[in-house]
Amino acid sequence: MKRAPLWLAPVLWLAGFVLLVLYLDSFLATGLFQPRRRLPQLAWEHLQLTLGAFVFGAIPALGLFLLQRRAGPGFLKGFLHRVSIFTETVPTVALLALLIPLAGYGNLPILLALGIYGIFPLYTALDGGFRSIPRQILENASGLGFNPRQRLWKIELPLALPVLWAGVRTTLVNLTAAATLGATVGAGGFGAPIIAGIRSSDPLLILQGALPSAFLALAFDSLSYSRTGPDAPVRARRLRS
Amino acid sequence: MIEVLGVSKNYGAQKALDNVSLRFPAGRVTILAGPSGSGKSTLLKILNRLVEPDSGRVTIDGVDIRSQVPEELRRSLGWVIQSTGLFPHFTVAENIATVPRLLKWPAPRVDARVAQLVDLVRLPRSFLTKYPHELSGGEAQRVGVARALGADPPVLLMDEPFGSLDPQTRLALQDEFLNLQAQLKKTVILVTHELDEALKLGDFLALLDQGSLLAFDTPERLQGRGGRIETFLGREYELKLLSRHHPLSPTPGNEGPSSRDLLVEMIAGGQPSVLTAAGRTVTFADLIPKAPQ
Ligand SMILES: Nc1ncnc2c1ncn2[C@@H]1O[C@H](COP(=O)(O)OP(=O)(O)OP(=O)(O)O)[C@@H](O)[C@H]1O
Ligand SMILES: [Mg+2]
Repeated sequence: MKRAPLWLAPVLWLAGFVLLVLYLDSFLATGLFQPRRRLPQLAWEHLQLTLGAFVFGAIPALGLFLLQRRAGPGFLKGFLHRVSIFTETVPTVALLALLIPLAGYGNLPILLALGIYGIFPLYTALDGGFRSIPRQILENASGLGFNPRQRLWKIELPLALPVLWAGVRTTLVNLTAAATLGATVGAGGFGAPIIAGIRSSDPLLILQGALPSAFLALAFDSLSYSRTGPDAPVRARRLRS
Repeated sequence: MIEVLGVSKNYGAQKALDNVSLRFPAGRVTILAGPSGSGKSTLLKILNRLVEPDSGRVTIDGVDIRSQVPEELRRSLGWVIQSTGLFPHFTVAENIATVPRLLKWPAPRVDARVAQLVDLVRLPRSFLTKYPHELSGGEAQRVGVARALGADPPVLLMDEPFGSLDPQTRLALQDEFLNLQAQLKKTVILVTHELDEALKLGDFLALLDQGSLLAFDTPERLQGRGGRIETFLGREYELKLLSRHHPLSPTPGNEGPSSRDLLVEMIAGGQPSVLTAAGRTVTFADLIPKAPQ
């Protein structure tokens, strides 16, 4: 039984996304809102916003995780855990509303605000991924003679990957949606037609931003590294190095 | 030969090992037995430096293990624990190849060794591409043993290797272990809290109790020691010991029915003697080991 290759779904979604952007761009009058920008331009901005925010969030998340890993199960862990749960229960809009006055207006502030929003889901994914590995397996790896670095790359990372990956995907999806809020503070992206559409009560204009944004989110969600679900072994990874 | 000298280990206020000294004879199977929490696993982990003792030292062939890089030491000591230990993202072949690859053997040599080891633990070659979740408990445990034997280490450390298996599989794997050991003659240190398993597999028995070494001897010589030793060995120890005695085989080994098996037949037949398949009559008196070994 031959399954579809892993890259197929994301590529199809992405192709759908591009076609949709081009189609909506030609179909609807461009630039009904100020400043005048065409949909491909907005798509590019939105992608930059989302991926930029992801990187802005990933760096501190990784830093926090490494810090906590070094410090061991101390007070930091409990604290970070509670903070991450808190940020997950607060709605995105509310969180951004809280962050925007702090960050200010424009592209860089929204990037920072979204980045902060991304830190904790990514931290939780890292923490949860590595914590999901049974202690026995780690002890076995050491007992068989893996040194700490070999153990990290050949055992821990591949086994943490399913949880980690799920967190990365969810964060990308959430950031795609959250990035539309950037328009409220003057940033670009698909938020611009949505906000303009709301102001002028024009559902078509709203759709012009909302539909491609949703397609982009679905494209991110379809990214997977393994074809048989979260428990599947990572076939690509070989011990031989 | 592995020698443990005055080793103690505390976890906070919890005493895990208290001034333990013993020698594990080379080429023989030594069983570490004792109640739960008596320090068996801790002692085993001290031998491969997964745990560092608070005091005392361990030498292998006279060399202090602290003079070796931990990872290199561990690659020379085969390591098997209860069945959950296989790497789930490695195939059977990759699991078995773990230590040879860590030792950077060339690929053809690794492949040849892996093939040799699956044959040794009597798994079909077609299993090499399977993943651990596709194996039964007994099969997984065979892979675990094959993995421990990967680079042909002179020593095997086994922590309840047959612990989570059903009784039948467990007995079968014990027999296979004895066959393997007869061929390979490794220095084996095996943790179990099952006395039957200890008597079946062990040349020597080290009894641990609350972190102290209660006794170290052959199972036969532990008989009738009294005190806490007797409490641990239990009232049926003499009966269990009969499973180590084979009146029909000239040399002590595991061939032929044991005294215990024959006694069962006598009881079942209602006679103080039994006629074996080979046409020999074994009497009750033959069941009793003659001189202490
Ligand atoms: N990492 C640890 N941290 C704290 N205490 C520990 C740790 N490992 C073991 N201990 C304690 O040390 C004592 C000996 O533990 P050990 O695991 O050696 O027992 P064991 O004889 O193997 O028991 P079992 O038969 O249940 O496996 C126990 O009291 C245990 O609670
Ligand atoms: Mg134990």
